[in-house]
Formats: sequence, structure tokens, C-alpha cells
Amino acid sequence: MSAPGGSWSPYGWYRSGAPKRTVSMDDARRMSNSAWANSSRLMSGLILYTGLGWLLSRWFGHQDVLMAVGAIVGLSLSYYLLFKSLAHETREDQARHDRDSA
Amino acid sequence: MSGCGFPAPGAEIFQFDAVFTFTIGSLEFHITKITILLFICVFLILGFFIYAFRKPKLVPRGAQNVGEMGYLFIRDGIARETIGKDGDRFVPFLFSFFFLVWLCNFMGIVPFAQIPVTSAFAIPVAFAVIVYITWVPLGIYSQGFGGFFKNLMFPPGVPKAMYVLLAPLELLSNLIVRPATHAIRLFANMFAGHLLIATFSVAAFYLLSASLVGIIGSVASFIVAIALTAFEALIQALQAYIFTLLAAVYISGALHAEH
Repeated sequence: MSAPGGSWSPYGWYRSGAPKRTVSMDDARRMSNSAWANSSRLMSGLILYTGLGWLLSRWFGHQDVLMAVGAIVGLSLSYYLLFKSLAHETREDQARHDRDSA
Repeated sequence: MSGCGFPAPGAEIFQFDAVFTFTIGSLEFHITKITILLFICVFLILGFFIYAFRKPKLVPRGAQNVGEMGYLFIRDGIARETIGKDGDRFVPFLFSFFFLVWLCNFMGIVPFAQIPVTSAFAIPVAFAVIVYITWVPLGIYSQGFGGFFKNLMFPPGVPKAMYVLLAPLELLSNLIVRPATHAIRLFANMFAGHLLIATFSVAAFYLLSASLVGIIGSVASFIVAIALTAFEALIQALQAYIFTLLAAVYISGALHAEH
């Protein structure tokens, strides 16, 4: 995975000593999109699954613990989605970089 | 309210009596200070840019210079950076939004106006709805109905089995939460900022008395109110920028499939 001008890593490009990398227009577009998308994913998981838990708890005769379970499941799913999609973007980023420098 | 009797300003400072009302059919229209200020903002922006570009010169001077700077800021800083090479088509849309939202926010620190137009929740909602009914049909048009919803519901990089749980989450996130937060972010920032300025201004008057504590308290509150006004001037521009940037991000998402 070594590119001309030193080994390139998607991690820590902001640290001193990391090889300089110019951010293309497409990179900027993808980054801003993913930043805003991920902040709203965190909220959506919580809202959706807490709501689902609330509905279930009403159905099963007001067992409020289901709502708490829903909140935890929702937040976990949000984080899962966040990690997975960020990992995917990093892989894509790496692949794009390797393609460009090959 | 118990205690000292400090008349802390609440949500009622955002309520205005109708200046006049009229009825069309069964719809009743209440024209308040907010409505009037919104119209003033629209006419000021129209007036300024029509004046600035009335006789465009190759070497811009004065108002044309300012207008071109604003245009280039939106084109290079938001449209091209966020949307990419198709961004130029959307510059007029983003440009109008940026300056309208900024001026509407700016009314919060203009003497006598002194209320951000965007602190009435209906106004940011209307703005966000305009953005929403722009990017959703645009996405369906450019990606096809199936492609658009596939892009909205199935984030790449996730095992297929997890889509059962994640697709509704992603759909809710993209179609409801993002547009809702788009409006709420602008509204809440302007609402909170105005409330802060109002609280310290009221405190400056309330604490004023011919005693040491009264004078110190009043002067301190007044200084904080001034500082917050300067801070708000920053927040107003920032929120207008963020609102426009998000509009561009949504349009970008509608134009480009993620992968």
C-alpha cells in the first residue's frame, strides 16, 4: 500500500509528518456529505427504535422496560451503521487513492 | 413566579400582535412584525442585487464588487465544493437562500427590528420545505425512482442481513430527520440567541438602582448584552452558511449516487 512520496494511510493525515495530501473537490463533497449524514443517523436510530419500543410496550400492557431496550438497541444500531459506513468510506478512499497513484 | 420578581423574558417575546388582518376566502391572514420584516428583507436583497448588477462592468466597482464577491463565495465555497461540477446550475438557488437567511437572521441585531425573522419557527420550516421539494424530485429525476430510494435506504458497506434493521433507520434519517433538523438547527440557534440578548438587556434595566450592587450588576449585564450582540452577528452569518451548505449537501446527494 505504499504510494510515491511515502506510505499513505487514511489515518492520521492531519498529524505532523504525515505525507501531504491534497483534498480534491470530490473528496470534499464526499466528506461533507458523510459528516452530515452520520450525525443524523445517530438521532434516527434512537428515535425509530425508542418509538418502536414504546409501541410494543403499549401493546404488551405498558411494560416500560421495552422502551428502554428499544433506545439501547436503536443507539447500538446507529453506532453500528456509523462504524460500518465510515469503514466502507475509508476502504473506498484507499482504493481510489491506490488507483490514482498506480 | 416566586422570588425576586425578575421579569425573565420567555417565549412571549416571540409573539407579536397582528398589525392588520385580512381574509381571503376562509383563510385569515395576520400580518405581524415578523411578516413585515420578512418582506423588508426580500425587498432589500432584491434592491441591492438589482442595483449592484444593473450595469455590470468588466472591472467591478462598488456595489457590483460586493455582489460579485458574494456570488463567488457561494459558487466556489459552497456549490462547486459540495455539489461538484454540476454545482454551477444551483448557484442562483443557494445564493438566494444564503443572503435571504443571513438578512433574516441579521434583523435580530438591527435596532428597532430586533427580532430574527428566522426565530419564528414557520419561516425556517418554509425554507427547509423549499429545499426539500427541490432535492427529492431532483433525486428521483436524476437517479430514477428505484435508484433514488435504494440510495436512501441501503447504505453501502453493511452486511445484507442487517438491512432489515438498518433500512428503516436510514430512510427515516434521510427523508425525515435530516430535513427536520435542517429547519430546527436554524430556528433554535436564532431563538436561543435572541432570548439571551433579551435576558441580559432586561437584566440591565431591572438591576439598575442607585446602589453599588445595582450599578455593577446593571453595567455588567449591559456589557454582556453588547458582547452577545457581537457574538450573535457571528452566529447569524454562520447559520446562514450552514443552512446553505446543507441545502447543497442534499442536492449533491440527490445528484450523485453514493457508489
